[in-house]
Amino acid sequence: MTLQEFAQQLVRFSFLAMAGLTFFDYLRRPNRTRLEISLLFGCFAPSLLWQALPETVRSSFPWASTLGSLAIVAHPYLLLRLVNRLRRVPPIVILGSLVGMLLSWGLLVAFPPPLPGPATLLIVVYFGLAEGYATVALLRGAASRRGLTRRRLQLAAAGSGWLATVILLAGVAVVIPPATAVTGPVGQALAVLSVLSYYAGFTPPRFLRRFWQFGEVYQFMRQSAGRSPEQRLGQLLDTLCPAATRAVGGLGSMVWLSADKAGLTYRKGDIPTSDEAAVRRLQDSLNQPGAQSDAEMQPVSNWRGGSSQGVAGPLEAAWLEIAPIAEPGRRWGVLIVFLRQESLFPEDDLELLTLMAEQTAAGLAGEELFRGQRELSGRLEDVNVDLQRQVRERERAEAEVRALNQELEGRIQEREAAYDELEAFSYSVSHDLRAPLRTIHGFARILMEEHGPAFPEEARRYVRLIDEGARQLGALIDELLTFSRLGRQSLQRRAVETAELVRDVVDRLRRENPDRDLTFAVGDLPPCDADPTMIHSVWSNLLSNAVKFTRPQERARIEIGAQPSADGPVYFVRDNGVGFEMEYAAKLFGVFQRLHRAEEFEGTGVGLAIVQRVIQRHGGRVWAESKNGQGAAFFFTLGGPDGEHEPGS
Amino acid sequence: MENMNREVEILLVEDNPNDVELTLHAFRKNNLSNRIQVARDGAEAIEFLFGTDHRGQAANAPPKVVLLDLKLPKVDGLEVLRRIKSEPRTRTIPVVVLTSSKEERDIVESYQLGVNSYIVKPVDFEQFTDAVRNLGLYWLLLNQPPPER
Repeated sequence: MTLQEFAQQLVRFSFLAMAGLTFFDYLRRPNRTRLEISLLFGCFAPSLLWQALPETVRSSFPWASTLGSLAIVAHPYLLLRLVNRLRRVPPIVILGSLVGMLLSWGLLVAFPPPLPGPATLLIVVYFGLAEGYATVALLRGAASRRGLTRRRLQLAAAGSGWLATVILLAGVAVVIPPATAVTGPVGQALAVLSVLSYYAGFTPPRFLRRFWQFGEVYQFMRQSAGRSPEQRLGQLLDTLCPAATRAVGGLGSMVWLSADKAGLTYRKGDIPTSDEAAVRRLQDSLNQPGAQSDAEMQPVSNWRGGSSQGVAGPLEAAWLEIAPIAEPGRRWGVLIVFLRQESLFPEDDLELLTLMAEQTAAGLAGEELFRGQRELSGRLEDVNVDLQRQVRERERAEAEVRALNQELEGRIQEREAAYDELEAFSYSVSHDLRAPLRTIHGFARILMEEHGPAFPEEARRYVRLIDEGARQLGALIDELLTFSRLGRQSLQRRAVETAELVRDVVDRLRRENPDRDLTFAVGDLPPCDADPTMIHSVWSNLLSNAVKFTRPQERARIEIGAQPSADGPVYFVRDNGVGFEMEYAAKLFGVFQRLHRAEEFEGTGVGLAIVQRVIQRHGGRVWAESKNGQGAAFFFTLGGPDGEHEPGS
Repeated sequence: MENMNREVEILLVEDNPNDVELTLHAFRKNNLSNRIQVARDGAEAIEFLFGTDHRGQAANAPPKVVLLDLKLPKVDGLEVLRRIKSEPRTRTIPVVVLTSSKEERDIVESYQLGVNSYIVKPVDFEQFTDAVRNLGLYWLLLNQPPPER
């Protein structure tokens, strides 16, 4: 085979291969665009196939070659329709090419092959114009686009350009037959080139698309890498849109984010959004329950939600591709890319967009983390400050407590000093009060002894009164001294056999009152934990009171016992004496308080005060009940060991 | 009672004049003694016992008993007691504290210093005269005084 023959076969093979590939592409995923592409390549196929057949067959069907030519002549029209998909072609031009095609068909049908020169020239001109126009249109389109689309348009333009050149050369060959020697091989080479360029431009194979797309992704990732978090945040969305648009060859894209489950709101995009109403309509349709779940869950191609036209209209976009900006467990929003026409490889596009969207999502997550971290460290600062403040307050409180403690100690000491003073005072008082008393009493006696007989009765009575007064005063002083000492003495608690103690007191009282009819009914008296001396004075006082105030009765009956209670045994002394008015019960235990006249019942009025003091110091309670004329009952309890009230010990 | 020329049997150290009179009255009533020296405060007592005024008397013929009140002006009773009981010349003189004070510390202190007896002056006159009579009977008649040097 000669080189020429080889070249011819190569051309033939390339064209047929392209036709076949595009046809299979269409079969695999049937849509209009693929159909048109396959037709674009397929229109060469019949002629080529026909020429491959042996001469004998060909001559049988002469009209077959016309058909092949008809097919070929359809190419410009088909091309312009396709170009229209990539870049808008004015309808008049498409109409013109249609007319041209029909005219050419007319010429081919009218004249049997081979065509006369002028007819051929006409067709060549038509072809050349159409292809030329396509080339220019594609180049201009490429110039105004970026990324994938630009490359594709450039390749398509190249294809058209080579083909136009081929046509031109063919025309030249028609006009200048000898030039065929040059135009032939050159034309063939250019034809192969043109086919390859066309293919790469209109239906780039996967590896090529991948190659371009990865380039875009690489750029996109490069842009977001190498920046500090703050820088990245602001520009993340800015870089996403143009990158996404470029990567799939779209017209523009938008990013919609949802903030706090409030639905999607438009954030950024690289399309003109002067039409506010349209944006809002798109938002509404995006935020419809069904739409939202669609848009946010899966990447979607060909989403034509109700009012997308509003925004897509100005762009002349007929196709939306949506990729969710999401991470596992977290949805941020969607990326919407507007495409002029249905994407030829939606899975690739969506894969790429999803990749970018995921990157963005990761970036957004990072931004959130960063913000969260800043907030946390801000809060940590606050907590720290607060903690420090609390520590200072605590320290201040501690200092206060210490100061208070010191004050308390000071007070205790003061109190002790006061008690010491009181002791010294009462000591000297009692001592100093006794001396004049002795004088009064003594000389009253001497007076009576030595001069009494000479006195009139009245005088003697006066002297006796003086004497009595002195004696009483002495008793009072003694009791007062006892009372004050009881308040200050240290309390020595011991187990006391109450029954025994009471028995002793009762015996003594009986001895001291031999001429009285005294009945003591002593009940069960449980032992107690108390100071023996002090408790002795309590019982002594209570019982001698009972004896005293039952004097008017013929038979005195005094009951002594104890009732159990929650706070321990309640001891009582009950008598059938004169009793007292409950009205004045509050005064009972006061010092010097008496509820009966002195001539009725002697006494200093200090006895019960002593009783109360002692009981108080033991942490117990004492109270009395009575009805005037019907006897009295006195009750008391003794507190536990910790019920003691120690004054300044 | 004024100072007698004869030997003093009782030294009464008492600042209260009424109490002095009552005590003397009691002694007189009971015919116990009329040789009583009265010192009106601690200084006088010490003067009498150790001083140069009554030269030799106290030293050579000490009283049979000292009745000592505790609350005295100038020199306190306990101080007098201390002096008496620390000087060899006077240590042997029986001292009876006759005071209103029933305070424990006074009693303790007095005995620590070596007092021979501690009597609390009763307020009641009869009891007082009884106490004085008993005192006198005991220390002047019953008790064997230390021999005179």
